Formats: sequence, structure tokens, C-alpha cells
Amino acid sequence: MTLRRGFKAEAEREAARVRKELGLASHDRLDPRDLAKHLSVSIVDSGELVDVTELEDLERLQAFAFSAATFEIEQRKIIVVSPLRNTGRQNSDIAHELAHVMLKHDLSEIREVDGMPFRTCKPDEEEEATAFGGTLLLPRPLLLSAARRQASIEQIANQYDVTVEMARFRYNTTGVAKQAMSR
Amino acid sequence: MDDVTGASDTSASVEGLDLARLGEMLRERRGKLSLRQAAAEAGVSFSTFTRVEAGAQPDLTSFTLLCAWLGVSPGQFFAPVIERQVAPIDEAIAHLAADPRLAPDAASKIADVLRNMYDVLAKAPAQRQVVACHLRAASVLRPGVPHRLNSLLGEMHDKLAARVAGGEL
Repeated sequence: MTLRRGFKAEAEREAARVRKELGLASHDRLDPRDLAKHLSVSIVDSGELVDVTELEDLERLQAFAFSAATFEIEQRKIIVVSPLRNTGRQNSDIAHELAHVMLKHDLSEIREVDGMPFRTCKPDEEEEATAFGGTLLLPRPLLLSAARRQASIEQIANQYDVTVEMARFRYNTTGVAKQAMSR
Repeated sequence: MDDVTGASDTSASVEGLDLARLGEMLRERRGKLSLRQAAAEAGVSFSTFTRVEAGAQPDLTSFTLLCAWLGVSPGQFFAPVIERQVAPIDEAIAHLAADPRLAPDAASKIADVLRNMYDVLAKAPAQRQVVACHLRAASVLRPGVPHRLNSLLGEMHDKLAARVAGGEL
């Protein structure tokens, strides 16, 4: 599965545009909760809605079985996050969900077939949301400035409140290390 | 003995989808192909193929693709629904009526008590709603997870709807 041609560049442009709207410089940390507010999307902790022990039971059955969801109720968009995730991962989850909203993806859903619930999922849309979500949190100019001051992956993760995996993924796939060296 | 112990009520029939058989058939069909080659042929991701072969539940699109690759109907993996011809309470009452130790009058009295208690205590089958939402979750779910996830999402949706109606959100 590959992203459609031009998607990454579009994502960078869109991330830059939305940062401007929020009054952030290209190298500033973006709090996805601020972005949610800007987009009139509410964020609710799933622990307020269901028993946390039920979420823990599900987690025991399968790690990361559930992380976040976006509901649309009476034209209001509401993102529900799991309290079992750390801040970095919650930020990724929220950014991913906001990406779906900004990209105007249709709702995927749990659909029952013969009484059996199935997850319906459009793999290309999931991939787009993951790519765009990462771009919102760590756009290329931000990573380039980090690379120029020789920040480590861990330092980037710490400074911008993202997971180390996310920092590594964005750092490596944007090729900023090479660009910083070639100067 | 099976009908008495209710042995049919295994976790597999609760889950309603024969994932073990699906995994087995994928392994057989794959034969000497590598997981990567087989996944590419079937049009699903490597990790999805690997996990479904090991008994996890795929999402609907992957399930359809895998069935197509196997050349079988998706329907064959659903456990047949065991239909009860007689309601459990009627069955219990029929047993009482047939008990030689009970006079017809006594049997009918117990039956009345039972029916009353059953009416009060028996819960209507849970209405499982289908929840439309974007879901950040594992694409491949282990047995037992889909039903729980579905009911949790339903609960979340209802609570949120109540909050929206109450002007809290």
C-alpha cells in the first residue's frame, strides 16, 4: 500500500497552513488538543464514559485493541481517547483522528455480519490519516531545525511530546538528516 | 450428555466465526509460498495475513479478500446458529409437568412461580447497535475482542449522545 502521488507534499502544506492559523511558528510544538479546539472538535477521555476496568480487560485480551475513536453526534465531532495511553501516544491518536476529520474521510464503522461484529476499515484512508497526523505534529521544517541543532530522536520526542517511534519514523522518512548534513 | 451440559456454548460459538478453520485453510492454501508472497497474492498486508493465519479476526475488507483468495464463500466460516424451537422456560415447565413425583396441581403451582420469576428476571436480548465511528484500533482483532469492543463503543456513543442532548458537549 502506498500513498497517492503528491500526498506527502500536500500534507506538509496543509500542516503549515493550520499552524499559521494557530499562530505557531514552523518549529513550535503543536498541542493536538489546541488544534481540536480550533477545529471545534471535542475530546473526551473514554474513562469518563465506560468503566476503566473494562478498558483494562480489553487491553489484557489484546494490547492496543482500542486507542481512540471519533464519533459524530448531531453534526458534532467528538474524539474519545483511551486513558491507558501515555501523553505521547495520546497526541498521536488525537492527531490521527483530527487528520481523518481534516481529510473529510467517511466514517468507518463496526458492521455486523451474521451477528458477528467486523471492523470495516479503508486501509488507504488509515494510512493517509497516519501520515498526515504525523506531519501535523512533526512537520518537515520543525524536523529540519532539530536536525541542524543535532537533536537526538529521544530529545525530539521529549521536546514535542510525541512517542520515540513517531519521532524516529518522521525523522527517517522525511530525510531531514541528509539535508542538514549537506549544508 | 451434550444437550444437558450445554457443551455447545463454547467460546467459539459465542464468537460465531470459525477463525481457527480460516487460519488452517490459509496455511494449507499457502503451502510453500512465503507469508509475504501469499499476502501480496491475496491483496492484504503481510501482518494481517500472518495474524489471521494465527487465528486473529481480520477487518471486513481483508476477510473478503482472504475468502476470495481461498475461493470459498465467507458464509462458511460462520458457526451455524443453533435455533431453539422451544423457549427455555416452556421446556422447564414441560419437564415439571412430566415429573411423576409432582401432582398436576403442584406442578402447575411451581410453573406459575417459575414463569413469574422468569418474566421479572430474564433480560431481553441485548440490542447490539452498529456504531459508526472512526476507530484507532488494531486492524486485526483477537477472538473475543470484537464483541467487547462493539459493546464498549455502543456504551461510549450512548453516553456522548446523552451529554450532547444535555448541552454538556
